[in-house]
Amino acid sequence: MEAINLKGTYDTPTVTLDPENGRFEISGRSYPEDTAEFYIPILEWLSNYIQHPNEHTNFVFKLDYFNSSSYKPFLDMFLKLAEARQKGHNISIEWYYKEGDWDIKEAGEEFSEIVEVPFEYSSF
Amino acid sequence: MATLDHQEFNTWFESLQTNNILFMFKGDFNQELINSIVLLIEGLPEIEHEDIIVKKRMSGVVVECLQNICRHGENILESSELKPGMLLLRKKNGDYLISIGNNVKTEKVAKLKDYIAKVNGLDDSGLKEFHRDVLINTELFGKYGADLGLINIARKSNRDFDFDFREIDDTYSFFSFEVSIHGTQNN
Repeated sequence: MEAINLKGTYDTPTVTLDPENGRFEISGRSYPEDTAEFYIPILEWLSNYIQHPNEHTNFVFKLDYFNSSSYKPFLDMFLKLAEARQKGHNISIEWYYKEGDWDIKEAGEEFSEIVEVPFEYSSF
Repeated sequence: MATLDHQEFNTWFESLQTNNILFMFKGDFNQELINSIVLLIEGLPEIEHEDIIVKKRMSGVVVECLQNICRHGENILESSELKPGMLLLRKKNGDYLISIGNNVKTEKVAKLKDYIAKVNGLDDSGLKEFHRDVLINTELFGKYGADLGLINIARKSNRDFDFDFREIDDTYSFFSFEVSIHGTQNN
């Protein structure tokens, strides 16, 4: 599968979806002007990837800030990952938050509760 | 020919000082401008020295409020696509006050009032629950933005939005809205 490598901007995150090198990461800020335009290709990519994922996939979220319109595409990603886990695929989710940024940590906990998948938490 | 009333200008400046105005902008908002404003606000000495959680809440609330103006604000000049509005940031008793003003359609006022009153009436766990419900039940890339946005602002602030609507004419009203965020530095 072709990798996605998007360099972050001030309002969009850095996205690395690279099965060959085993890297799956979304980091930085997310409050694009057009959330759909930014996330539709990523969600489509993920839908395809989970059909035949790597033996192990560790998905890393390392966000500084994301706006309310980014919540739903994020939830959609977690739902896709949860679905693949249910089918028996080995998928883990790592949720990073800046030391002291309890709001981001809590957002991760709430996503985790909704999709019923435990996240691993680390500060950076 | 000089047109500046220097006395008035001086009074204006003094009033900004005594009201602890940290940042002020009036004009047409767009995404590039939001990025620049967030950068400027994060660089203000008062904000720079704050705890990370306060900094993040400030920029988070400012982004939500200004993106709301870009998405839902109205221009009284119907021929114009520009989104005029105002942002005022000041410090009072150690708290940061973020005030926003923009035009909305008068026909939307009742609904907006109900929604703000609902959010204002919820405590922390109620807001968390409401956020979860709205998040789960809205369509992907549907028109849920403003709903989640307001809950998000409430969760990052001291809640109890102070707001008002003033009718401009039959079609438009001016919406003003203030949010406060606890500072941790008492300067």
